[in-house]
Amino acid sequence: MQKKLLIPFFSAGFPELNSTAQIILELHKLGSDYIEIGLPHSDALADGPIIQSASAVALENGLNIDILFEQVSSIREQIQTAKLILFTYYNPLLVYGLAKALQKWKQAGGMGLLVPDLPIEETKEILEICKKENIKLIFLIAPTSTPERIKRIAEISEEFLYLVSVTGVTGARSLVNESLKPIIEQIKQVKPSLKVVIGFGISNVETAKQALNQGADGVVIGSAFMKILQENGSKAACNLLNEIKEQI
Amino acid sequence: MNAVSQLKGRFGNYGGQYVPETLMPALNELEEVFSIAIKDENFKAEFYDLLQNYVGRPTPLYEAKRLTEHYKTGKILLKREDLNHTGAHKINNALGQALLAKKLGKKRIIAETGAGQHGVATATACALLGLDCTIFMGAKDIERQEPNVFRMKILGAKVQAVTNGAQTLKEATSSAIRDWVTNVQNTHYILGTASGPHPYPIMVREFQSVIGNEAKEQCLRKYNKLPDCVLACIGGGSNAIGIFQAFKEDAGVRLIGLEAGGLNENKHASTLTKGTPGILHGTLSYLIQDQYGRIPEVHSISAGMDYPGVGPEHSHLKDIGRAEYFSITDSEALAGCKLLARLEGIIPALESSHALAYLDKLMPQIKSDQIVIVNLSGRGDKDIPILKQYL
Repeated sequence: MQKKLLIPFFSAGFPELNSTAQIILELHKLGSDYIEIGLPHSDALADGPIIQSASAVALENGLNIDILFEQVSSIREQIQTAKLILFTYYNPLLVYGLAKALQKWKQAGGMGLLVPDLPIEETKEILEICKKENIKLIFLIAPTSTPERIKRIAEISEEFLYLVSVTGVTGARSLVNESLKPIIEQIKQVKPSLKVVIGFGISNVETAKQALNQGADGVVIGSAFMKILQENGSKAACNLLNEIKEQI
Repeated sequence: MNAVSQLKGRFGNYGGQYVPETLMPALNELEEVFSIAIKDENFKAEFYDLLQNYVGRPTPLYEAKRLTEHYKTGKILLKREDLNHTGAHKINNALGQALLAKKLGKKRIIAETGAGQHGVATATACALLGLDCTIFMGAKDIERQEPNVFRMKILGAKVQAVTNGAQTLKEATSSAIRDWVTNVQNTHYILGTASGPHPYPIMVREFQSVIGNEAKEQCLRKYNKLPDCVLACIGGGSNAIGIFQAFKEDAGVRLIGLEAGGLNENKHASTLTKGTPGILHGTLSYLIQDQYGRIPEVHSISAGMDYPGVGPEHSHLKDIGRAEYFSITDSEALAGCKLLARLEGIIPALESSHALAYLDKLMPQIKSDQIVIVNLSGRGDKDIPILKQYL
């Protein structure tokens, strides 16, 4: 059986401003296939309560995109094989300058970008810059996505496609929506080589397995990781990931 | 549809649809149902029947003679949206969208509210049409607009207090959008202003354009000429776009929007006069933000204008110079409110008071034969808890 992808998400600058680099190193060491690094935003429409409150702390800590780029840059030599994805809302990129932001992200060692409030209709400008910088733009598909949209999104996707398990914001849930199978099948029909990972609501081994049983190639774990990080520190949070990694 | 590409919902560079994928199918469906409905004679008949017989339209275009005398020149006309059922222009849009929700087959309605006027209007439309209603309102606004909270509850709506951030309209809107992302399959979001992702800006404008259409006809009929200036307050900008729309093509009519200048240079909500372009709540428009695109707390004495964003069409009208936007401070608005109350026996909403306050600056430039229309977007009953501190 093919190895399944483990993709942790964490908010940069939390719990301390300088936690970012250490967490990336730990996530890389435990064998994460991709690492999603969240840039905290003041108005994060797709974030659930756990990530929202972590974002508020990170902003309070003084994190901004310049500091994040420096933090990632500083460990670049130690994590050359890590696949880092910047998870950010569109406005911070737009105001910073799309070209400048993506160039700096690439220089810092980033390989991917995920913008949760940028539907396919609005991606023309950023896709051109991504192409130029060789940064992969990761798209999301939702349970509400129509077959026509799934086809369009799958066609332009690279690396992997992020399937949101539920309508709603981020956050751990006890069950994973069981109706995702037909969506995954449709994606595979459009592009058999494209990996599909499920996120939003994966909180433990059980929900990870539920997701994979529906045909997903991997799981994204965000809020569950952040919750343990907040309560018991990064070691305990990484233990959850190790446990899931062993069992999938 | 001039100056806006119907397909992409753009006003020049502004507008767009910056929302999670989860919402895109709902926005597309809404756009489709809306574009059919506004051409459908049955829909229009139902909507205008409600506006006439339920809301009480047309609202008067009242000649404020004592206020005019105070300035000793011109002629000041008030478009009396305060006389609408529920006390503000918000009901026009709430009813239009609630009718659309029925067409969409959505039984649950959510809305954000700042001053509570849009919340009351939405709760009213939902009671009338038998829809389940939840209103998101910042905890700070729940306190300062208390009368409206009770009105919503009496009307059967759930009022959900929003306790994060500044606990005002921005947070209420974010919470409403998060609820919509979660419950989009059975829920329609009645956004209260001409902002948000496409098709909301054109849809809200369409439902509010009755204000300007009436005002234009009333002015022409009674005075045989167009007004020289049209004033409206701007938070998100729905009453302003509603009255501007009818006059946009009339180059001789000055269109003037008045924003919340708040307390001082650092505590305000003057989005168009002091902001820069950015994205908030699904639309690209002027925005109060820091160098990293993050949105700080803003301030206005009027809860309905205590918002760091603005509808995208206003950004476009500003950039092309078709409309002018100025800032009015809290204390200027309070003075405008008191002046109208004392001279005309009308207590205006603190939002509308910003438009009235600009008369102090505008009237000295007005010639004796010129006409100024002020959109009196709402009445001040809801502001009594604030006004009593300034008696």
